[in-house]
Amino acid sequence: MNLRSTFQKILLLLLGPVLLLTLSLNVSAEEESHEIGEELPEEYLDFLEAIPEDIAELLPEELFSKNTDEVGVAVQEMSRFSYLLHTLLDLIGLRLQDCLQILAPLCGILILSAVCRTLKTSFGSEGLAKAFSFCATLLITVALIRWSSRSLESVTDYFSTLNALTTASIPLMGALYAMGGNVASAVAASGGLSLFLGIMENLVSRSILPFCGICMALALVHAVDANLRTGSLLTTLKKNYTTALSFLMMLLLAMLGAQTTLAARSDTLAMRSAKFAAGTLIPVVGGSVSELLRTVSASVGFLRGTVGICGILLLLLTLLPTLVELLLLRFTWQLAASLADVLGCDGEKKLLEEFASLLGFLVAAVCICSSVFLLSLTLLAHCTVALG
Amino acid sequence: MQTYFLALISTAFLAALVGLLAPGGGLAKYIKLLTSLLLLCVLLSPIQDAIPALQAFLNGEWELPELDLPNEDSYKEELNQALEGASTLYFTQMLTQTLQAEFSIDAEDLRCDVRWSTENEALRPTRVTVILSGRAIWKDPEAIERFVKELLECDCVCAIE
Repeated sequence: MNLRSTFQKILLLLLGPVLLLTLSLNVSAEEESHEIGEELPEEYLDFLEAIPEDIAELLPEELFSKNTDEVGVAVQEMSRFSYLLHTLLDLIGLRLQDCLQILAPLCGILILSAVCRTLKTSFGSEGLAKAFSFCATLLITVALIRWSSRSLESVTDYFSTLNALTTASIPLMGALYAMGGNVASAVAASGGLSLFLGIMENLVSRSILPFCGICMALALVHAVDANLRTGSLLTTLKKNYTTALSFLMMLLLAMLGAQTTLAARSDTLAMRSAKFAAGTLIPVVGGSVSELLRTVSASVGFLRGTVGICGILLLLLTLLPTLVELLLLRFTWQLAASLADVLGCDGEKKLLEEFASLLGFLVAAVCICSSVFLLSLTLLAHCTVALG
Repeated sequence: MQTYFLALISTAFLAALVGLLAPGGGLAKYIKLLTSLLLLCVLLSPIQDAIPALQAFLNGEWELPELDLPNEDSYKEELNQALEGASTLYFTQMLTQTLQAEFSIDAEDLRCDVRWSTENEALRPTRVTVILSGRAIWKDPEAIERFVKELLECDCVCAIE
């Protein structure tokens, strides 16, 4: 019996490891793989980080996901008219309150100036009447400069945001173009946007504030002393600056559009002979390379369309607050100028009209500078995938 | 620039003040002319700095800031990586479908994992792991392994989940 139990123990000791070796499962860690177009590139989240926080709070949460379908749903929601209108009305509501707070004291100063002008005959001295008019102009000037400086700050903030968005979009667009086989388009788009970024940072952002300051100073000079007629000089400067800016942006638009379109055509031709690493093996297991190409092309096309439209909507949401602020303030100055005209305050009217005109110039500058980035996003959304 | 604006605005106000305080008569005209000329000088004072900068710009002595942009080769590399990923995933899906059809296995009971290696700049499968679950665990694993080995000429092992 002892021999038998010992033999059984030996058998178990020998068979145990053998059984373990034969019945052991081959376990290995499996990487989660995603189809091309299922997940957005890493650069997309970097792009979203460039959006100001007050705008980011208005965006749907799904927009910050890496899943393409969720982002697509968020973009569809953002593109609805009700969403855009609701956001726009929120922005107008906030700014309207500020404009009413500006208009009220301005009207008070104009009325005071008009009263002093009417009573000048009772002063008995022409110089005293002029001194009162001078003081009224000084008060309005201080108020205008104070309130206009806030709008100038919002314009410079917008240009900073535009530069940040452009910087973040260069690697994102490059990745999206390259993913679909549009290598030459990726190079063209990156080069064009970096040139735009250089011009924005070195030329526009540095010149817009000094130019506005010069315009304000010239308007002030004309308002303070009617004999110093700087009105035509002011108009000439504004028109020529806007013309130069428009011309520069037009050149950039033409260059970006032409290069990207031509590059897309040449990419399509080049991709006809594209070889896949596993392409020769795919027919072995029953699939086809053309089927794979169609799948990749459709996925990348959807990805580009989603990111392109998302970028356009984000640009609009970033641009809207600045535009609304400038337009409402311009309307406020124009209303005040109309009141000054009614009250017979010619000097104050000219000053208010000049400041309103300056804000109109700023609106044009902001829109012109945004057009290049808008075009690049549109080209991304509509660029033909070279693989398909 | 701030100094320039302050100087310009201050000169404008001083000119207006002088105009107000100036005595009447012929002298007032000359005082106004002098103040206008003074204002013009202050207005044009930045030109002495702007002209050399403008000349340099017209001569092409300017540079755009250099950004660290990827070149065409890096974009091609990105494209190759994306295509590699897409083709290997598609290959795995097709292999899974082929095995499901060949051995009559339901879609949720079979998964494949393919390991790749690069030989002469081309990807080759080196090892296929077929993971069986559900009712597929009763299928003959040796037959599956033999089928895959003959099809792809690489190692194949079956595992049960």
